[in-house]
Amino acid sequence: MRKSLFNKGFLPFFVLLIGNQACQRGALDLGDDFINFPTYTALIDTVTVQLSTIRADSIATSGTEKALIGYYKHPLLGGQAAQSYFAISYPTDFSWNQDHQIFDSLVVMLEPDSYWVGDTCTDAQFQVHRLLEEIAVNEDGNLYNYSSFEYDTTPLAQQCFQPYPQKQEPLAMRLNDGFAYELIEFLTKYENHVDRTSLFSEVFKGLTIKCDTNITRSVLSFNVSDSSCYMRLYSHITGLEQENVSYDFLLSDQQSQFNQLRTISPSGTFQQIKNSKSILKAQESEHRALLQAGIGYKIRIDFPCLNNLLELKSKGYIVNAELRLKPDMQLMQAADLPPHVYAGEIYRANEIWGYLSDTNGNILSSSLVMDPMYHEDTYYAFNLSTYLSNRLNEAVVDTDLGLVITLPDDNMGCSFNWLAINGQSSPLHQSKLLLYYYYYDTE
Amino acid sequence: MNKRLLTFLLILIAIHSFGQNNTSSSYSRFGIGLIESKADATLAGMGHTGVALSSSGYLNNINAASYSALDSAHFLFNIQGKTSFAKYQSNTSQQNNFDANIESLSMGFRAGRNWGMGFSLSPYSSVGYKIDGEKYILGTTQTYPTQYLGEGGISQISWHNGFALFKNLSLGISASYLWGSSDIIEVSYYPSIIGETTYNERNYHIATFLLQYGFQWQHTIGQNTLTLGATANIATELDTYYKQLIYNDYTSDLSSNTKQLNNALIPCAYQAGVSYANSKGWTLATDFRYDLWDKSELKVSNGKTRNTLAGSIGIQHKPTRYYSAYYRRIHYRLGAFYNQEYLSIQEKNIDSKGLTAGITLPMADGSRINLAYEYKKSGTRQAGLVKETYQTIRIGLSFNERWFQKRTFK
Repeated sequence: MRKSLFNKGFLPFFVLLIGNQACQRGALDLGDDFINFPTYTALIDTVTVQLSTIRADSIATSGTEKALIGYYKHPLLGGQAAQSYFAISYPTDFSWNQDHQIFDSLVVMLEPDSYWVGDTCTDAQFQVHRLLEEIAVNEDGNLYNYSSFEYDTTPLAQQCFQPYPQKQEPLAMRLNDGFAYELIEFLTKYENHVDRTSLFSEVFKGLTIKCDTNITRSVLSFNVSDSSCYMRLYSHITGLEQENVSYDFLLSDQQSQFNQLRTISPSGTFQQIKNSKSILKAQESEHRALLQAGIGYKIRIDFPCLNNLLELKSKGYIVNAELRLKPDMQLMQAADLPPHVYAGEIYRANEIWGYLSDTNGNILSSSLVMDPMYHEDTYYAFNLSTYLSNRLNEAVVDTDLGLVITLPDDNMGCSFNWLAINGQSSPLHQSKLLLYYYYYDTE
Repeated sequence: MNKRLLTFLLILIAIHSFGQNNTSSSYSRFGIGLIESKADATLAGMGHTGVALSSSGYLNNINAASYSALDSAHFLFNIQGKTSFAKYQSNTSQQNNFDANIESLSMGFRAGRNWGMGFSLSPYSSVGYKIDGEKYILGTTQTYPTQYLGEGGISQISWHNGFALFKNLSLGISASYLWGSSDIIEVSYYPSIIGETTYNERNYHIATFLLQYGFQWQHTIGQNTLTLGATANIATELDTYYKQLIYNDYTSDLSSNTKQLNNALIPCAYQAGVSYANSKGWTLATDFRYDLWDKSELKVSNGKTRNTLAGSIGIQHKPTRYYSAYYRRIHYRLGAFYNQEYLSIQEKNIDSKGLTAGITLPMADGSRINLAYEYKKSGTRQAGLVKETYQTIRIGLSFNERWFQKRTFK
């Protein structure tokens, strides 16, 4: 019997041959006229953005691993003074040979980190004082920018020097010898006492280092760690050969080290903010809002007309929402600009709910765009697409809920970083919200 | 029925239903896509002419009345593939495409003394395009790239019946079910503003029944035959709805809705044809077609529907007896056609015209391999439109199974 065409297996071959194949070379760019898809994307940059300044009651300044000391004049707030407090730790391996050991000097050593603010061209004068009160932490275990403890007004040391914060050369301040002898006497006397450590801290309650605000024009930052912040006692033992012996008294106890930061002779419009619940609108403070570390000013941003955007919700969605915060570059220098600021949610009475996060779950951070020429386009950009989309999807859009712009918490207590942002009513370089909206056709 | 045949049929139906990429033409973006020819590879070689041609040795789905001429002893099964090389040219760019796929399946047999019956599965219309565009972000000088993707079309499954009423007159009716879906996607990219890529997808579903009536009348003039044929279908409403879904890479449903679309029609269409066959195996045929698409109520963005005229002509030579030389057993065809398309875009017509040629290679078992080549031009480069040039090869395999003949053994 003759096999049919089908039985020869021609059909499967044919199916395989033809199959479903397609390939393409080149692209046909026909422009939009041809397609006329009735969707479009538009930029809305007229959304009301209300910038205000709020003030935190307190800023935790302990445990920051930085000691801030100095004084400088803030262009908006007036004189800012920083004073740092340290507890003195009981030295390890202390022994004193009464007959042959001779005291040389007692020195406080501080290692600067690279942060500074103010004018470092003029000399700084630092003073070391002995605390008369033991450093006691608050109930929450923190010490704050306003915390202070009584100290002996007669300084143990006073030193005038030219600040070189970039050089990171340790600052050595020689203390009063009388204090050193008192230390040696105590340590020898209580060398074998069971409670020698607590007795020591009762007698030697700590040190505070401040500056002479009449001379100093800069604030310097010092690393607070075992290897960089201590008091060293130099001595030598006489004999056939002289042997040098030194003992370190660490000043780096993180719990008790803190920075007292205060405004001296407060001035300027931001003094109007009386408490942490007050809001000072940018319109009432020369069209700018202020973020100030150390003192605790933060920027609050509200979108009072967010409800109006609900109308767009049924017709489209936010492709990208960018909040552009433009710093007041007439007031600030490029070097003043903090590299990052963060955004959090804030409610009525300035209750902060937490940081915003990006789509990857990281804390939402700004990116700083620099326009080095004229700073017309220097701004901090936040991508608020997810945030605003979520806000618009809430059952009720609560316009009492706003954003707080702040520095990282650990930065607030150990720097005088600041940022003055132009409000929407500012005559120059206004901050704004850019909403890119995709309108879709539902017909 | 041959089990393997059945299996393959099912596979092919599956391929057909799920893997349509019959076209890559930008014009398939409009209306219900590009309307496909009903001609098989045989008739495609004659310029898609066939209203007045009878089904003998092949299946003529253009006019169901032709089924009455099916051989009583045989079961005909036709599977057809299409490979198409297309060149698309706009004023600024050019694209080359290659598409290949199974185009149609059909089968036919004699169901009664005067009754030929058959089934076919073929595309009614096709959607398939990928177009790049660019739009302005309103209120800025920035632009963003867009891409438009379309895929799908309408499939047609038909039941063809041809009845020989008198010796010279056959009537036919084709009952078809048309169904299909097209995915139309607009993708908007926002590289300049680092925005989220947005997908706007519409999934159209279309279904309807369609009836087409036809007749063929033969008149013998000496040894020659003159055949007149005509078909008509009445307008039928399309049951159409679409699902719209807008999503991005993070949110799978930014907006979704389903909407019923009413009023769109497959309009009345009339075809008439004449063929003349002589005793030496020459056949000359011509068709004329008129479709009332103007009444279809199809919404065409940037364009409108219009009534269409189409004409085609074809000539065939088919040997009248068995020759020992194989080339003399081959059937040869030539044809030409002119089709108005049912829509005009930006007030420009995108009519198509083409030349065809085809051969049939008869196999010893009665099966046939049909080949048709088509050179087609359509569209225009005016008004930002696209000029299209196609070179299409259709391959049809016609299996002639002896179903109804009892084997005898000596």
